[in-house]
Amino acid sequence: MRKLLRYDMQSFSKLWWIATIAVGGFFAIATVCMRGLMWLDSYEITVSMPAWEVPLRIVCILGLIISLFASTAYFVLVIVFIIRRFYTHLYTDQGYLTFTLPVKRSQIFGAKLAMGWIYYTAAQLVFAIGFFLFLLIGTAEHGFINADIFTGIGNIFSSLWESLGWRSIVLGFELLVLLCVSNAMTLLFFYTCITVASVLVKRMKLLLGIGIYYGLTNIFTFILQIFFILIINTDILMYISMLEETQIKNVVLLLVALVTLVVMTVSWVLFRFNVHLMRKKLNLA
Amino acid sequence: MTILEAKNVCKAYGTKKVLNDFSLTLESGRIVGLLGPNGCGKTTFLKLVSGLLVPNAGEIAVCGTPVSEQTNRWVSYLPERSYFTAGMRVRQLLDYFSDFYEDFDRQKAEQMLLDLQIDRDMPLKSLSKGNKEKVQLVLVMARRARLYLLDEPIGGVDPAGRDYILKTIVGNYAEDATVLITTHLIHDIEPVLDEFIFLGFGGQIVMGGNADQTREYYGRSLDQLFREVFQCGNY
Repeated sequence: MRKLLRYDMQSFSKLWWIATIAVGGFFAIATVCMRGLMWLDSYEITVSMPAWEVPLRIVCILGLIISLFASTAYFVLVIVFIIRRFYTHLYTDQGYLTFTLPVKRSQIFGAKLAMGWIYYTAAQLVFAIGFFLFLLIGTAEHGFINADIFTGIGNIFSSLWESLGWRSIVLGFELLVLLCVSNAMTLLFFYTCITVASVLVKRMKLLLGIGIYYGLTNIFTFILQIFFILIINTDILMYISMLEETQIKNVVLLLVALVTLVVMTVSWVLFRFNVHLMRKKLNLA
Repeated sequence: MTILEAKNVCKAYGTKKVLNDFSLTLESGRIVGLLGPNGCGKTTFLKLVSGLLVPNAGEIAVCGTPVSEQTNRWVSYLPERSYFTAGMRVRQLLDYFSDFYEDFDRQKAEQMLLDLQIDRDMPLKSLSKGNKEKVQLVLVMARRARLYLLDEPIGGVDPAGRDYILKTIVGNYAEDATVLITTHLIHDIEPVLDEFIFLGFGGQIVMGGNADQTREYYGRSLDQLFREVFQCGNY
């Protein structure tokens, strides 16, 4: 599987780096536009507005909006690239090479999942860092950086520690694991829809896969909404609110752990299901 | 030694039965031509043996082992279409095959590429269709496999290239290995065949046996026999 992963990582790295450098550029533009707006706001207007003030303001606003939207589109692009790579390597002519390797189906699929997860998680990190730098530099009224950001972050962590104590570390760890497993489940869900589509049809596999994905997403969203409505209408929330503060905090930790476990289980089921389909229903006609 | 054994294999695409109760046994050390009209199931059978399709019924075993990733170690498959990632170079493909196949002879592959005047550093997307097919064939034949499955190996290649490929097929496989070739260019391929199978629709074996003996018996080439057997309207 290591060899497969190495080749998968190499084949995707060029695209990922291009997209990442582009998003870095967009965040830089957003930062410059933000600083421009702040400078315009602080610019002293004495007698009348300079002729360049309004056009410059419009340019800065547009630049900021477009850059932030483009930066968000980065996520969509990365996912699209990952899914497309999964589809072309397995369910187009390139699948003839992949599936005739002396490698287990679980290893082929595992490598694809690992590659997708690494790049998707890395994209989230890049976005977070880019957004943080945008706030740090773009919102500075004086000097290069806005030191109040660090103060604000410090205050958040302090208040978390004050209210939750050691539980804040446990919660942080749980949320990190949940994020990692959620990323895997997101990819597994996409992969499963494409694999099912490839088993069902000879042509338009990707299109059908996307259709299955959106259909199932809507169904699950509907089911979740019903579930939450039922929860709200039961006495569970009232019961929780009657607990002691310490017990409530423990319930929160438990709930997050439970959600993480459910996501891990669903991910494992989806993984086994995909491998089963590849073993028993592969249809590279 | 039996290299390939297919028993009562059935494969359908929806309601269309391509192979119906098809059985075949191949011994080692033979070059066998699997010949038949379009749509009779030749490519489907090769894909079943290489694990790209799963039969609806029946069993297929290579060297006594049911088809799986294990048998991929012994089977070298050349599909009729290009299966490369366009962004790769020829050299990278050599690295890829060296990494995954223990039986891949890199020196032999490089020598064959040299003979065919294909630059190792050439990106695959800039190669012509014929050259891509040659590269694929080189990669397949440079393996010391037990079973070679060649689906239309000379289809898109120039006549000089075809001669080289046929010479490579004959000269480069091990004596205990078997080569199973499908092609429509029977005239070109029949000089290298030890055995042949005429496959009709539904996987029905219409005729088969030793190529030389059949030519002698009927007094005609396999190409001529094929045209008579599969004359339009017969099958």
